[in-house]
Amino acid sequence: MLGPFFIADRIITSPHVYVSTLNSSGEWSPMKDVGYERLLDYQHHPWRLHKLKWSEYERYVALKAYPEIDSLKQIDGREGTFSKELIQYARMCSPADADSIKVLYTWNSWQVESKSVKTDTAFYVTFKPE
Amino acid sequence: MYTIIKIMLLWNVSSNIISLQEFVPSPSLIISTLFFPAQWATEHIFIFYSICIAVLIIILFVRWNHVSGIVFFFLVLNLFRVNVSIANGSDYVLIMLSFWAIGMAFWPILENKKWNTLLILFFNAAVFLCQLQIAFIYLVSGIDKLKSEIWRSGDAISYIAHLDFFYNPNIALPDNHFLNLTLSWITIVFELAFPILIWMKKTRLVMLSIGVIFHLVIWFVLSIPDFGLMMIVSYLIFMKDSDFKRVKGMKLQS
Repeated sequence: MLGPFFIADRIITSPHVYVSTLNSSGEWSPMKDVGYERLLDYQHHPWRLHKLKWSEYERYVALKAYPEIDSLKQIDGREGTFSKELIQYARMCSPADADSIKVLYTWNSWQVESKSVKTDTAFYVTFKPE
Repeated sequence: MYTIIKIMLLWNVSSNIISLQEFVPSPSLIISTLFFPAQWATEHIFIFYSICIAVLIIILFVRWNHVSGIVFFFLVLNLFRVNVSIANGSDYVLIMLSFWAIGMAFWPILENKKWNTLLILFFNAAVFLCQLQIAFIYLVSGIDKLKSEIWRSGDAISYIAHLDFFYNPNIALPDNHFLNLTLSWITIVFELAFPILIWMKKTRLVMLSIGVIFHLVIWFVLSIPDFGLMMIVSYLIFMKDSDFKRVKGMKLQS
């Protein structure tokens, strides 16, 4: 049996993954929503399907990593398969000389009555790339 | 053809993603054998995709038969396993279609009449079960929406319009309650009507036309192009020879 599609739980929240890196001069870069930037790129250039798929992948890996790294501030990849995958993904999105990486995973949900967005932090972790 | 295009479009991203993933083999012998190509692909993705495209091109040019059906299904399953992290509804629909397509072969025509009758029976059963499964997708989705408060109230449209990982920002939808309510109920009514009206000769083409518009909207507004395309492709299974003639007639008239 296939479906149902567009069930209530899936359309209420928008997951976001932000990445920030610490450079050699000791400064953290501004948080970057890599997946969303890729999605916008796809929406402006619909033939760039790979951009859309990267943003889908980012949501998948963060969602799978969430139960493994919930409530932790620091991770090193030993928390589980997906936290390891998330570290590798974040490293791929960061400059090669990054000393440390911060990953913030949030769920934004639209509030119909107040017509505003409510943001919940799922995790906010720091790790040192190998 | 759809599968070949999808492989080519996703080749680059899939090769990168597979290098980030850890493939955990299943303890079951049947499952690990079934997904052996996917496991092998983790180390040899370039060769895996090259073989897949070559096999798919051969299947495209060979007269469709049960063997090519099984090979196609086997490939689709393994492609799904390789790209599981970027899979969506379209991949599940493709697996379902490729499974039923195994039975949809008219060739080879056998000399034995009994076997031929059996083959035709098998063909018709596969087509019917495939149609039934597509109709059920709408039925299940329609019932789920009917049970959901946010769909009944129209709020679901407002939520979807603010799903920033989904919704196309180039398309502005005014956040109007009446509009949301109307769009929400159009969706519910269409999904509940499709599994009924699709079987009737007079309404079949109308439902398919509405369905095509419905999925084109999902394609462009919600950034899930592969799902929209897959569902539109799946509609071909409902088209009878008379429908093709009617479409052709309409074209000639216009």
